Amino acid sequence: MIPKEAEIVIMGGGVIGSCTAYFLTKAGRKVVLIEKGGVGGEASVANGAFVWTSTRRPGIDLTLALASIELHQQLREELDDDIEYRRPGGMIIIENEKQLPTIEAFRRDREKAGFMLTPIDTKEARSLEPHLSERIVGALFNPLDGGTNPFQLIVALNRKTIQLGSKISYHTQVQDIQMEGGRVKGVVTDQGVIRTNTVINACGSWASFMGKMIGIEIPILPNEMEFVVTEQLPPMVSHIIMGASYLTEEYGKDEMIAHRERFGMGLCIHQTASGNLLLGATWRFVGYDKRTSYEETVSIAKEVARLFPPLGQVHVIRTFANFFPFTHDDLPILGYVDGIEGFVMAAGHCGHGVCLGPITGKLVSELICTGRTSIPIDELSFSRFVEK
Amino acid sequence: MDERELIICRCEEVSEGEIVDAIEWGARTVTDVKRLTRAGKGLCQGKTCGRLVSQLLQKSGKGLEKPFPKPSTVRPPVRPLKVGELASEENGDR
Repeated sequence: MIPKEAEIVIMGGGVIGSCTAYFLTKAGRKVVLIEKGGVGGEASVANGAFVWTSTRRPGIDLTLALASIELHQQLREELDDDIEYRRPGGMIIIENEKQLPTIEAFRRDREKAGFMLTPIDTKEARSLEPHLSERIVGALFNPLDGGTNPFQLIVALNRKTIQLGSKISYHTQVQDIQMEGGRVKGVVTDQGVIRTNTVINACGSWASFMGKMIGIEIPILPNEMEFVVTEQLPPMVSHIIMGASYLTEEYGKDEMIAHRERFGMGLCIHQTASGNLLLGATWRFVGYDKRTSYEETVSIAKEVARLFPPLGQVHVIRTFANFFPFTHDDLPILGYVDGIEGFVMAAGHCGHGVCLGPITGKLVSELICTGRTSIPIDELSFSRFVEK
Repeated sequence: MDERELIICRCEEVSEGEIVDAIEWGARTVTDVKRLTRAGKGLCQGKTCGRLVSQLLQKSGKGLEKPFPKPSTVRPPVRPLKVGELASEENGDR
């Protein structure tokens, strides 16, 4: 049974909502977490499982990522189940000479901010990853990058949250948010009404629907991303791999919104603790259609076979897609919303939710418990999207 | 033999006991069971165990979808395909 009253209601049981529920509960609050689907949510458990810092931009973006990877480490120690977080290091593979100027500018930008990505040549790259093609131009190496098991992370967080006294209601749909004189008063669900003064919107790509219930337009769009899963294999790829094309091609999303048939592609490879390879990824804007497409699967397979020729022999067992919550400045929306007392945003992580989940949960918990955050989040406020 | 030890998903070696425990913990759909236990995540993608998991859910009376719990989402490929086969298809160089 769903409680009739709650100190705090969190809408969305993905990695953001689950981390937020955990940090709030640990801080002594009693929350009710609502998830429309089952344990894990949506994109939180359908992604490359990267806990990745290399591509974060200097400034708040990188600050959050660096703080969050320390929390992943901490969670690995304090949660009861193994979340399989490891930090083998990440490599951005430079595929051809043409990419060099972009990658060098990208590296220098980060160097200026004191964030070092080490350039390595083809020989070094191949000594780290023996299956890499000899035709690559080089790579950037970053020892801070890693991967996790998002299922295990969320299950472990949820279990601990329940153990510490909060409640989680899966398969529960939010139907409306009750307001009274500019204040949040309750959440109406298909399982009953919960009276509350504080509601957190952690609905990722569905966050805008929650906004509509209280009359605000939340500019988060579902950005479909497709991945491929292979059979379980002995260790073949030990680092977390991204292709430089991810960086040289990632800048056309606004254009893609207008052209549904277009998709972007950037290589990423992560061999999980279970031995499966997660291969990705393509992205496009197709509303909430998460069927995978043959064209996208083929483009991922081609890129993998080209950069890691021996992986041409491994078997694909599944493809999957989900929606990364896209915002126009590639940053999440965090914090209270002006004019609506008791409504807190924690959504729009643009494909970095798994990495940023823990820091998001910690900061939102601090905000609610103390009114302040240990990392200033003013520039992430909803008001940046409100016309002045 | 103890029923709990019966292997339901042979690809991922998940026993009936593990599935019953997952349902006890809160799994209400075949996908929930898959997420909690890995049943159906292996080489055959639940082709064999999907029905068995569905039956266990039904038997528990706790399944969300009644009377028959739906299978988890089916995605291509239908059978395992080599990365290289997919990569060469479009080029016609098979």
